[in-house]
Amino acid sequence: MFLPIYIENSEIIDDAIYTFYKSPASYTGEDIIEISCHGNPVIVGSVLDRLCHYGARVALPGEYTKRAFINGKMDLIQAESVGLLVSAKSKDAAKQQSKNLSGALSRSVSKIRDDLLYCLSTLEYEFDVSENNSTVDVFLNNSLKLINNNIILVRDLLGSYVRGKAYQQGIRVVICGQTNAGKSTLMNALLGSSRSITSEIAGTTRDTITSDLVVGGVPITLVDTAGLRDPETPIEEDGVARAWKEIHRSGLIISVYSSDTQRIDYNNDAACLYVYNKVDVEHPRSEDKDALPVSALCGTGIANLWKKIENTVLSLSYTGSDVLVNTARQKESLRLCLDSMVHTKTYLENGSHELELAAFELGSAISNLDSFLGKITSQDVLDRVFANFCVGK
Amino acid sequence: MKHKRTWDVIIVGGGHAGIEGALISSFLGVNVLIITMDRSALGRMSCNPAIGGLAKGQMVREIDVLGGAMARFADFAGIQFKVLNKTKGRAVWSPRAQVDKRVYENRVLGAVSKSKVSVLSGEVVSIDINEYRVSGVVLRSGQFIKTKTVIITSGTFLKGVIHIGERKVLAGRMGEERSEGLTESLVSLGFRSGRLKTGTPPRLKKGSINWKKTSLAYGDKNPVPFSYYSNEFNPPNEPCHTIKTNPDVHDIISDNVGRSPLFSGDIGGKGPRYCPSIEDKVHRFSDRKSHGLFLEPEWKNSDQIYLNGFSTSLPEDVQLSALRRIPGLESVEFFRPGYAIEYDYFPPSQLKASLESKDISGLFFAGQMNGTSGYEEAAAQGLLCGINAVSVIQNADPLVLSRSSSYIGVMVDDLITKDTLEPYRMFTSRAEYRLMLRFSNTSDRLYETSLDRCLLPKTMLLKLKKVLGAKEEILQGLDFSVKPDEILSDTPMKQPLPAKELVKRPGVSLFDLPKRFLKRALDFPGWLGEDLLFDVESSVKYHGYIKRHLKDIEKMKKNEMLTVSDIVDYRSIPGLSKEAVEKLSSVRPETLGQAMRISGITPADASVLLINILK
Repeated sequence: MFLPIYIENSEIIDDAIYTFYKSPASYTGEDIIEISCHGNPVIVGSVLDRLCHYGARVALPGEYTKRAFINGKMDLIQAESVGLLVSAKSKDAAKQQSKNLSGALSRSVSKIRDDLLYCLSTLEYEFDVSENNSTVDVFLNNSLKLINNNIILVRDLLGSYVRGKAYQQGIRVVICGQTNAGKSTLMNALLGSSRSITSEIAGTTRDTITSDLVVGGVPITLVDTAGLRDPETPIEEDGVARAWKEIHRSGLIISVYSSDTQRIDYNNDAACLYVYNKVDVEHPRSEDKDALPVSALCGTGIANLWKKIENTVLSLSYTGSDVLVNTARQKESLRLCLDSMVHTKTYLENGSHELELAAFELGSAISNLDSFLGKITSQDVLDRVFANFCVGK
Repeated sequence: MKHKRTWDVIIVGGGHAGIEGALISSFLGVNVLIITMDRSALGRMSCNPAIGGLAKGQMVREIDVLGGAMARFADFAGIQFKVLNKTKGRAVWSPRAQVDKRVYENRVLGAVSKSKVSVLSGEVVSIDINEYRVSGVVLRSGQFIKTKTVIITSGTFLKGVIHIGERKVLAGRMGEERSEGLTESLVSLGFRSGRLKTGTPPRLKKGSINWKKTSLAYGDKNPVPFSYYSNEFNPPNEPCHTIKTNPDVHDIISDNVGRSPLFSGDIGGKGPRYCPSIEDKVHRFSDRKSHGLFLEPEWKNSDQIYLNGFSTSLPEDVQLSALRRIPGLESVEFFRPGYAIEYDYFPPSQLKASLESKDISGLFFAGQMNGTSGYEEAAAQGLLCGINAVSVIQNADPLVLSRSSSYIGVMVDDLITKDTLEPYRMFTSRAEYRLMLRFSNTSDRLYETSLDRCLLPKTMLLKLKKVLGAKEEILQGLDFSVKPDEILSDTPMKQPLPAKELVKRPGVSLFDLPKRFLKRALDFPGWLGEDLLFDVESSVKYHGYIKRHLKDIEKMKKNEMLTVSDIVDYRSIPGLSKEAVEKLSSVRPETLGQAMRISGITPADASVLLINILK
């Protein structure tokens, strides 16, 4: 529909397109009217004012998605994915979120849940129906196999949390080294622009300087830091402290040194690439052969360094599973689920006399997956028992 | 019999629910009248000759501690006792007894006639209401009887239809009149009703079975009774006999499945999935070549044999020709064929957690009319109705059993919140706090309730208190140390350790400890001493898990305290899904906890509801 918008005094402020989405075929599942007006902030502001005057209010952050969730239009994972999609930093991350949105993550977890539910319903069949012991051993064997397989799957998914975090929040690639190693020159060479101020004076860079970019589909933040030496001024002292902070939160360290500066080993959890700078001044010695020869000033070896960075970043964000666990909530649910599965395994290995405890742990593993998926269940187990077994004497 | 007086409690029906309701309310000091269509059928076991079983056994002992009679009746009439699931973890151990139906029924009659309960033959056709309160019942004869409360336990009698193949018989049980009119009376009061069905297997003539071709199954050598009343316990141990179906049998059933009203669509009501007919089993599990069947004597030296596992509504000639293909049954003959029965029930979401109607004060429903199946489920509801009818009369708070207190609590909560899609049967998997709901700790769980409400005679309350005291003492004693050379288990030990730590280890039993730790149990009859020692051991072994259960229970408690029964119009709550509005309006839950457990209510609905209560 194409209609004018009026403000006070029946004055026409804009012509707009009205789109009506009838419940439940809308995003939130409710009746929705979408007004597309011209983007001038004054116009938009007047339209909003007018609407609020008639009793509307501005949506709270995430309210549309919350309503969609409440009205059953999406499950919790999908809702979370919408949030992450909006704030995703790279195209691949966005792709990953739309994959989760379409339910790939929910499906993987649902499959694990199905297996656990199968084990539990077999177990409940033993408790509630079967009155002989001959079926117990078969159950123990089959269930152990299933549990073991799924323990591997859950571990895999948990591993993907790191990768998921990389996609979502990016990897910090930190250039560091002694003063005058040529870190800022390297930063500029990598970026192909004069992002950092460079000079021959040691200690030129006092603050950390960052730049966001995407490498191999993974968002990274390239960080230039102050050179590490005993600081001469309070400002430099601050800069050095910041540099160390960056080093500690980095995912990849680019340790830069040259013939006139020392190489530093950071003994950090992060991955590390050694860069021997200033090859134009002096060739690397034999003990430098694990370092990449580069001349930041002339651009020698920069393409090669980029390739190395890309490979490392990709390996940092690679896991076997093709879906990603994104949020701390998801990770925590999976971790609790894994604990319960490991306990279940122990009880099953001990034979039949503690089967009720195996059932307890299986139940709690499933309920953790349910909270992962944002749903609860009650009848599921019994329904499975009835669906799969010949129940009744 | 003149009925000018006003009764305190009228019980409609004399089955397992009716009997418990009558005996407990009479014990609690009010005057009680049972109205039954056939007074000789009081306490009749219309189906299998057994009490207890998986998850049901636990419930029978709960009935015992809450002042019910079923456990004592079963201990008296049992001819074989067996604890099921003995190898699968102590929380799921479930006692079962084969019983002598005749002895059982006689024992029930004896108990009723010894009590102050009055019995009247008649058929109640309507309930009289005044200002949303029960005021009386009307019999088919036109007689009006005044009463303060009514407990309806109509079983399968309301508009009962028996199906045997194409044959239909209007009856409440084979050979017994059905009841008509009461459904219409209740529907006119605003109740919703529905149809359910259940079945029973054929009864065989003992002399027509070749017993040599069957296998024997005995009960436990050291039997455990249901009731804490029982002292020294030496019941008989009569064997059951088992046989198996084979592909020939299945072929005959498959060929004739069209003649089963279940399959031809003649039966509208839904049947229980856990107690499927033989035609159901053959049809759904066509890959199974054989199903086990049990030949159970209906009473000691009975000529009548109950064929457990062969519930059916096939025509009689098909039943016979199929069974005659089984070795041992080549020339079998029937006392009566198996049949299916359809009957009216009332979706129990119309009741409060006390089993009283949400709309009509003083009106209670129990047993199969609430869509349950099984003697034990019925008895437990009857008992609760009896206790709460007295609460209504005395203007006291109703007794509501929580899901963490008992299987009975789980059952009632399920009944009032979940859709009844089939007759409800108790399973241990229905109980989320299963590890706490053990057969052996029934006294611990329900003693306080029993004491508060004076549900048991003083001597029994004292006995239970003594049991609990002994358990506590034994448990505390486990803080003392055991020396390495004292322990009977081969668990590795270098220095003295507290007994409790040792018992926590897998493979170490309380019974491996030196005698001084266990001697307190000797004050009790043999079975009870052992029972309480096992339970102390369980509570030590389960300690960590029970702590987790308790944490969950604490979390849920808040929801159980938040009342939502005053919400008049769920449509006025923004954000509730259409389905939720529908469900909540139809069930009208009493608490947020109940609301959350209603089938179809999502966590999102629950949080919307919570936000609105707190507003």
